[in-house]
Amino acid sequence: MLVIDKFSRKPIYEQIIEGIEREILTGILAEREQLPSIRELSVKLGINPNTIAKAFLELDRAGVIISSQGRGCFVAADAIERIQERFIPKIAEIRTLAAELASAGIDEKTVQAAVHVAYEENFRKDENL
Amino acid sequence: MKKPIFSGKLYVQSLKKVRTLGIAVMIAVVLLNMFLPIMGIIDGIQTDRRHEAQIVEIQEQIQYYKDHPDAYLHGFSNLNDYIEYLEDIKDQPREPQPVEDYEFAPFLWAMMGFAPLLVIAMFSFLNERKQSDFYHSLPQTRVCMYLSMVAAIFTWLIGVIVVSVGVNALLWGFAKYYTFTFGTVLSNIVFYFVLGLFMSGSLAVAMMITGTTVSNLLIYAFLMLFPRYLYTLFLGSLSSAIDILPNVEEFATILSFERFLPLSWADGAIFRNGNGLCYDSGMLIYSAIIGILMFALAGFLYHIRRSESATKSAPNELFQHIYRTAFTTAMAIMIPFAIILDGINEIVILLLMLVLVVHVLYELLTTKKIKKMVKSLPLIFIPLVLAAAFGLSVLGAKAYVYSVRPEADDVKSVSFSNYNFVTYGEYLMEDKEITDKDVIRMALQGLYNKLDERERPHDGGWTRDFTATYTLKSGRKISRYVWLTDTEWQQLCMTDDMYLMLPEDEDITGMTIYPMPGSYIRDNYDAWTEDAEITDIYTKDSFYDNYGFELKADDAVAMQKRIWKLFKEEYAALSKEEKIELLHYSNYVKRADSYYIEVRVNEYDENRLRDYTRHFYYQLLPDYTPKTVEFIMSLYGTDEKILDALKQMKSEELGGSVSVYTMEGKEHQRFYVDTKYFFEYVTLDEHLFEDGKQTTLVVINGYHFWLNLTKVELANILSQYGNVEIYDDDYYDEYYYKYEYGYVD
Amino acid sequence: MISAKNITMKFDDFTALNHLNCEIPDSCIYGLVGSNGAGKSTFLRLISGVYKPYEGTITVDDAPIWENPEIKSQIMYVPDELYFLPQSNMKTMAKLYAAAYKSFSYDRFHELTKTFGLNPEANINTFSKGMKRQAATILALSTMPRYLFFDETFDGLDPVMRNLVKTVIYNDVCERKTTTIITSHSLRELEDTCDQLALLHKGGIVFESDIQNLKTSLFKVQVAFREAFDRDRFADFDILSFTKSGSVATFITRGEKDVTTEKIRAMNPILLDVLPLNLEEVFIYEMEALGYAFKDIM
Repeated sequence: MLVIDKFSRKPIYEQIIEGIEREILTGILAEREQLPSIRELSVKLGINPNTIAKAFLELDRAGVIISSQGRGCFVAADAIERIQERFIPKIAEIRTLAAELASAGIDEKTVQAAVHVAYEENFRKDENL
Repeated sequence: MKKPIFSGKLYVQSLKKVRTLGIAVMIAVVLLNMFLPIMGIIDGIQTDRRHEAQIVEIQEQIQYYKDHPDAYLHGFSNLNDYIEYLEDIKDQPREPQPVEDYEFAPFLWAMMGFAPLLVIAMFSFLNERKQSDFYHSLPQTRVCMYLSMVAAIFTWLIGVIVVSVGVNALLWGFAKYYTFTFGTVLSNIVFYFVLGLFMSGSLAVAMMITGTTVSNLLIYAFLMLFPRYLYTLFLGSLSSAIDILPNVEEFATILSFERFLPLSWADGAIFRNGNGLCYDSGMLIYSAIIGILMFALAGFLYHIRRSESATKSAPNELFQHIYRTAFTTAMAIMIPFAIILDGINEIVILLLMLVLVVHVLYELLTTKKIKKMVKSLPLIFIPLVLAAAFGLSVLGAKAYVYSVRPEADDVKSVSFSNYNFVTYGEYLMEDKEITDKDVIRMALQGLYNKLDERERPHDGGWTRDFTATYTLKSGRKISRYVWLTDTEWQQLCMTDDMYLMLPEDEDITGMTIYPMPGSYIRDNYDAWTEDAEITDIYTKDSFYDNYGFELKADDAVAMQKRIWKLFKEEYAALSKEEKIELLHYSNYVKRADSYYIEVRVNEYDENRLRDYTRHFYYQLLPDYTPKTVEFIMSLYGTDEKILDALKQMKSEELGGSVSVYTMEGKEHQRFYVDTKYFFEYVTLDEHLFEDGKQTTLVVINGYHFWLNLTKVELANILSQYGNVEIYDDDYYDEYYYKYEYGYVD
Repeated sequence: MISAKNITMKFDDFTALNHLNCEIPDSCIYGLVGSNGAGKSTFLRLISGVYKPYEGTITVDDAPIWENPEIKSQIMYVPDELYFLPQSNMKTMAKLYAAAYKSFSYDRFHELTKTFGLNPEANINTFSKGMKRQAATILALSTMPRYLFFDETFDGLDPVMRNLVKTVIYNDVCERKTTTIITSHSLRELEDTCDQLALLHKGGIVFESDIQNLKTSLFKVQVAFREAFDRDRFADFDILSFTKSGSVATFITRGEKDVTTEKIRAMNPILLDVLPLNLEEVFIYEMEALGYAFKDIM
């Protein structure tokens, strides 16, 4: 479900991108499925269609969706892989973060536990869907 | 790119926009106009009704006069004419009269105000920012908007006119004793449309170049009035400064106020002057052209107008200065005008202050900003400079005109006009080219009189002003309004033999011989042609007619002609000097209470479309035309008639006066014989009566008797009336004493 | 595309717009902010063909707009001061617009009138100010224009109406590539709706950008290092504003967020926070960088 928080500091189009990615990852949007039209989204969410168009453009560039002239936008066959590709660099962030925590004297177990919890929650969520 | 120049939809919208105004005016005008033809209809009905009642009465009258031919007649020479007149009335109470153009639908004068109101209503959006922006955001070009709106204005204008005229045409048709022609209908439609056009075109222009209602109206007034105002002032200044220029007023062209359409309408419709609705068709065409040009100009100005000009009295500061300067200049040119007319006096100071007031007022009224007004004050020099230019141009014109001073050798011929002619010869001289050297020399003297500003004579003598047109040898013509003294003028005239001519018979249109034998009342009828009308009617009841004789029209004519023929023959036989003398007496030194002939000649003036009657006088004096005088005397009564007259007077105890005139040589004496109230005898100055017959005129209560008798015979006659004593000069005092006290010691 | 090149507009001595340049692409929702008297209304009037510029050209799809009925019939300008024909109601105004603009749709007119809950038979001049704005908006939208200009119109609508109008606009953008320009005092308002923003000040466009770019191009960084440091440490960053309190430095920088974050991370900070800015903050800092005090402008 795409939920956009207009009051968030996060730019709306980023929220859209993430929302769609989430829907793909959680299976709400299947691969090769057609995305709702920009118009539909714009009216439903009350958002500037250009903004939505921009988000779609980004997603298209990243290979997550495929926009076909006149026919609409479709989730790419390998969308999930593409999305995941984006998150790979974030693993480096964990390293930095871990380094920070380490230098602060936080022990590894605590950090690992936190990681574990996060994964449990998210994956559990996915199972329910 | 398609750019239509007319939008049907916008046209319809515009029609609707002003419909409240349009309908209100249409109703008011149509209803008010209906008033006249309805009155006409009612009048017709009432006349017919009255007539029915009258018919019986008239029948009786006719019968009565048929039975009593001697009954008293009112104003007709015989009974048959009167009966004919009555018969006519019986058949038709009156002739139907035509409805004048300006009576047909007179309330259409409202078009003068309606058209400008339409323009204001239609274009008021130009004066408000919101509205102006709105209209300019519409997807039409300016031209398209303008044409559509103007078409709507014209539609309403014509619509109201046609509806009202149509309604009235219908109604007038029912008015029995009024007629009208299709020409009247057409001329009404055309005239009032042109009037509306003319009155509103300038307003459209004004609204395009200003942005507030106040400035709209100010500029409108300026555009309407300034050209004529300037023209009138300029001509007035010219004619006042250069009074040597004849007839500056003849430049009364289309720009004079006479030919200002609304004024000419007022002149015709309100004061009943002129030819109906409009002075002439030239003025109508001119006004129509001006109206159309103005609307066209307004369209062009709209095309280049900026929407943000709304609410501003002028599109920018420069124009504000220009508009204001226009007004102040209009005021300022009154200053040179006043100076030319009357010299420099308090009025000039007043006018200067007025210029300042107009300047200040205009700024305050239009911009409402005191600071701006104060800042603009120095610019007041501009209108003053322009006014000075105006004045200088007039003075320049004057200097030029006064510099024209031909010599006698330069002049080929001269002609005269615009003067009072006294003798027939002067009349003939009008507008004739005269090449006589002496005449030219004297005519130039008239010019020099003006150029040198010679003083007019103070001795009570007359001066003659006239227009002389000098044709130079170079072909150039110079017209000037000049003067000569009376004597000089007569000299000028006398050099030409025309001076002594008598009118030709075929030119004479009327003649009167004073006093005409017969009734005192009938002194004024004239007769020359056979169909002359004798205007006074001989009535048996008149006191005076017992002493004269009846004169039928043909007789009067024949007698006039006979007298004139005699006079002409005798006149022709006179020498030149004698002729001059006779004319002198006839016109300059009239010998009172003697006979003279008044000859009337008609003249048709093409410029003014009018007939003029010229009068020329020839005195009948026994020393010059004795036969004529005698003939006339012979028409008068004989001794018996005098006695009858005297007897009648005495018996009627009415009193009256008896005067006896004699003419001795060139003089005549007059003395009064008073009647009942003072004395009953007559005194005659002995010196008056030499031995022998004297021409004597005896006037009894205005009745003239010419006699030729001796003193004694006269005394005998008069003694029938009362005691007559003859005194000589030395007894003048006694005469006087008697007069005063009625007796002598 | 609407293209305004080198536009100068004067009123008497006052220059409202001074060599202004602006391009508005099709289907864009363009927001124009500026203080009162900055020239927003003047600009809109110029591109609606109501005013003629003293200098410069305004073209729509390369055709000049002045006196061009064909293009003007595709433009609907809703001014700040509304004008309705005297004694008219919405029906009469609709008739006028239908006559003037061929693309007028009575269907949409009726639909919107019903949705907004306005009485089309009532005299508009008796409406409240807000209702008048609604009426004008309805009429404008009903003409199905290709170019829609709202001059401070949204400021007078309540949030419900605003959303409704936005929906219609979005629909039009999708269906017919409608280009919209909205002026406002409030950045907040425009932030939600527009995809391009420009700031008009003293007769010129001082600042123009894609909103998303605005929001992503600047961000706040809070960083601390073990060692002492000062601004010079960040010499090769594009920094707009730098403050340091204690050992924590806070600065605003421009650039790609991820790249910049990586660069700083490579410096081994002990504290690193990268935060997005809201639009107003972005404006403030951008203005400061340009030498204006944003508060003065707005």
